[in-house]
Parts: sequence; structure tokens; C-alpha cells
Amino acid sequence: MEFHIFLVEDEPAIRVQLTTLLERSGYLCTAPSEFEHITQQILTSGAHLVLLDLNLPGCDGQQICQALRHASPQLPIMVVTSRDSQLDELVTMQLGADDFLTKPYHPQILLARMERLLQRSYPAAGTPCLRRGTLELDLGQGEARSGGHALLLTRNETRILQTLMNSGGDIVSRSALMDALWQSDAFVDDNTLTVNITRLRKKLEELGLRDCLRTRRGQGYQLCL
Amino acid sequence: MPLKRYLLDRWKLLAGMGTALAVTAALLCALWVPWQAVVFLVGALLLCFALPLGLDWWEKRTFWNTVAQSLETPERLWLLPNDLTEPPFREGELFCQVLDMVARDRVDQVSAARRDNREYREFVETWVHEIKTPMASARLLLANHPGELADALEDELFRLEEYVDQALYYARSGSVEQDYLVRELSLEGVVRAALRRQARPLIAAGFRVEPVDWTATVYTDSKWLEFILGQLISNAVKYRGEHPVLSFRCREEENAIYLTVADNGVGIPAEDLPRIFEKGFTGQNGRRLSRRSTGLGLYLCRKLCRRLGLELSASSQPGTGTQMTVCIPRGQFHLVARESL
Repeated sequence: MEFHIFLVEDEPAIRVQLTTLLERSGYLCTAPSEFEHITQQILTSGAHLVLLDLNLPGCDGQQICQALRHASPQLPIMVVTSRDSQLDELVTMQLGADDFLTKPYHPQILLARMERLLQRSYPAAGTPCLRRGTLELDLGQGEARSGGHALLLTRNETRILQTLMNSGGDIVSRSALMDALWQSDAFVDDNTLTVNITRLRKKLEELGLRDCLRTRRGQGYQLCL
Repeated sequence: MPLKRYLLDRWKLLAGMGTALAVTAALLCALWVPWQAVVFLVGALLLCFALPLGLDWWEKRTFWNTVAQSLETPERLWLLPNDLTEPPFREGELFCQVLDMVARDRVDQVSAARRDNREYREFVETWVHEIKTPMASARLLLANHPGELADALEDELFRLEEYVDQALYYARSGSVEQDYLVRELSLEGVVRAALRRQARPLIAAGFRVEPVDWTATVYTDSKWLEFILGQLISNAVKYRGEHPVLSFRCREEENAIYLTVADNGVGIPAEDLPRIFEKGFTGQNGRRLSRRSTGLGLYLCRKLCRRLGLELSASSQPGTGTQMTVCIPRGQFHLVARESL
């Protein structure tokens, strides 16, 4: 299912880049540059999730959040702010927001938190899946499927495969893979990464995908499907 | 004002009086006045001199005693004008006026300094707030254009963020206002957040991190504690050895929880150890390894800890490793946090 994200962000550079990021990750994105009657706009857009920047010039982000929550109790709202203080966290929770991020956020963390929020809010949509070529990765269950076969992956293997699949065929460095693991609280070292890659490769071979996880000496790994 | 000192200060007057009495007595004797009359007259004159002097001394005594006593507590000297009543003599009047003006000037200057400090701090907070927008923008650009250049730039962006954070917390550490919020936190959660934040340098340096699995909860500000742990981890990276290992230990005692960040790096020389928390101290390690060292990290950490009611201490074995321990007391904050929520 393709989720529709409504983005309320006034800074043009961020708006453009965030839209690109979301679209690359498989979301549909609406990101207006004018914020008059924004609450109405959001409610009529049919969006599945709202990404709201609290620091909008000329409008009160907190007020918008409250109005949205009042009009639509089920709509998932994620708030972004640059005030890095816990006081704001409490306040935004009281406003009815579902989650809260401070700038500058790790884009991967933003995507991960959005995924979680969407899964929680729309359980009928099924667990999110990534698809590249003949390979399908069920992120919720940690299962890799291809050509009729299915295999369960460990949390680390899932994370590695997800990162490789999200890179769209580009080479992903070892440090980028390790960073992805660390951001999900798996504080692995170099050896552990190598072990995980080897195991993942074997599992992909079992699924009939030979030679798809290629090593690029000195650069990293590449998923060729 | 002791009587002896008072009289000593007026020795010229006393000398004059004494001479007058002596001359009078001598003259009377030379004029064949009976000795009883001489004694009576000298005695009466003496009384006429002594009484006013005594009265004067008594009047000034209270005033000058108050002043002398205030010298014993110099830090409260500026409050002296409040304790003195207007004295009935010119020197005292002038003294009071001068003292009053000096005290007022001091209060004005302190207020002005406080105001300047607050305005500067507010500027830093605003600046940090604003700079996060272009940094967020840069982050997104890098995420959308992965590659070697993006990897290298992300490293630089990370260092930028660290310095911005340091500026923010430096400004907060000096303020009188309470910029922190005490809440119940999972200690393990805070450590993990710090590790996630410091992932890049730890991974780049090839660190092995020992797993953390505690149930302990503490009452403090999570962002501040995360920042402090981040600085400690950053030091462990800076002063690492070969095959670097980072480990965390949690020791629960009745009155406090002790969180230790330990590494197997180059350690701190014994002579440097007592000075590492000094502002601007770089020590032998800071200079020898020629790594950029502002000397502010640990100074700032200890200052922040103290503001939160925590304590930071260090131990080290040169060549083997260093252990930095944060002591988080239990009890009081627990009650404060419960009441304020």
C-alpha cells in the first residue's frame, strides 16, 4: 500500500529534500508552500500521516496540531522542532502529537519512526514490505521471499538487507551498514558485520539468488537484482 | 572603639589641656592661692574637659563599632548602609554618603553584568536554534545523494553538530535559570542514545562496545546526561589505543547509582589526573597526540553535572585505560520530579 504523507515545512530547501527522500522511500508526498487554511487542506487531502514543523513563520504550529487532533482523533501526527529541550516534548505530547523529532534528525531515524507510526495506525495495511526485482523483504516479520521460497532473517540481517535494498543498487559502504545497525541499537563491530554479511549471502543463495550480494573491494557492498 | 585608641588619636588635644591645667595650677600657686582652692579649680577644669570628651566618645562609639564589626564579613560589606543610622557628626555623615554610593554602584554593575550574560545566552540559544535548519537541510541532501562525497561530508557535518552542541551547553551551564527537566529515565536508554549519537566516530575508530543490559532507572535530565556521556565517549575515541574497547558499568547503591564509562586507551598520566577538569587544560595527551583539544570538554561536563546535582570523577592507569564515573544520587530528585508532574 502506498502511504500518502502530508508535509508541513516552510523552509524550501528542507521541503524539497524531504519530499525527495520520502518519494525515494516509496511514499506519496504533498508539501505545500502556503499555509493558509492548512488544517482544512490536510483534512481534505486524505493523507495517512502528517509531518508537521512546529516553527512555522506566521502560524502557530502548536495550534495547528491541536486543531488537527481535535478534528481527526485517528490521524497520525509527527511533530518536528528545533528546540532540543524536554519541555517541548511534553508540550507536544499534550497537544496530541503521536511522535516528536528534533532537528537535525538522522533521515534514517525519521523514516524508521514514520514506518512504526504508520504500522501502528494502519495495521490492516499489513506489514511493510520492500521489493526489488524478485526479492521481497517483509520488514515486520523479518522474512525474505523469492521465487516461492521464504526464509527468516535475524534482526541484523534484516537491517542490512533493508539498507542495501533502499540504496537502489548503489554501493553501500561498510561504515554505512554499521551505522544503520547501530541506529537500531545493535552496536556491532567490524567482525560481527562480516559474519552477518556472510550469513545473509548464504540465505540469499538458499532463496535462489546467487551472486546478488557483491563485495566491492575497498568500497563496500552492492545488491544486484 | 576602645577608649585608649580614642584618646591616643587626640593626644594633641590632651597635651594642650594638660598644659593649660599645669600652667593654671602653677600660676595660682605663684599668686599665693591656698592649695585647696588650686586643687578644687584644677579638678573642676579637669571635669569640664573630661565630660565633653567622654560624651563625644560615647556618641561615636556605637557608630564606629558597627563599622569595625562589618569588616569581619567582607562579603556582606555592601549591606553596611542598611545597618548604620545617620550619625550626628560630619565625618560620619560623609562616610555614610560615600558608602551608600559605592554600594549602589556595585549593585548596578552586578545587575548590568547579569543582564549582559543573560542576553548573550539568549543569543546563543537563538543561534543554535537557527543553525539547525541549514544543518537539517544538509543532512537531507546527503541522504538523497549517497556516495563517497556524502560519506565524507557526513563526517564533517557530525563534527559541526558536536561543536554546536558544546556551545549550547556551555551557555546553559552558566545560566542561573533552570534549563533542565528532571524525569524518570532508563539508564540503559540514555547510554544507548549516546552510543547512537556517537556511532560514526566509534565505528570509524573500530571500537568494540560491550553490551549493556540494566534495569536501573534514574531521575535527571536525559538530554543533559546524553550530552555528558557523549563527551566522555568522544574522549575515549580521542585517546584510544589499539583494538579499542568501550564498556559501561552500572553499580547500584542505596543512596546513588554509579555509571562508569571505561576504555582501554592510552590513559591519563598521574601528574595530569588531578587537573583534567580544569578549564582549558590539555595535558600531555592533548598536546602529544596533536589532536584538536579545546580543554573544555571535561570542564563543561563537571560543571553540568554539578548543576544537575550529579558528580563526575575519574581514575586512570597510563597505558591501560581510563574510567570516568558519574554519580547519580537517589532520593531527593525522585520526590521533586513526582511533585512537579
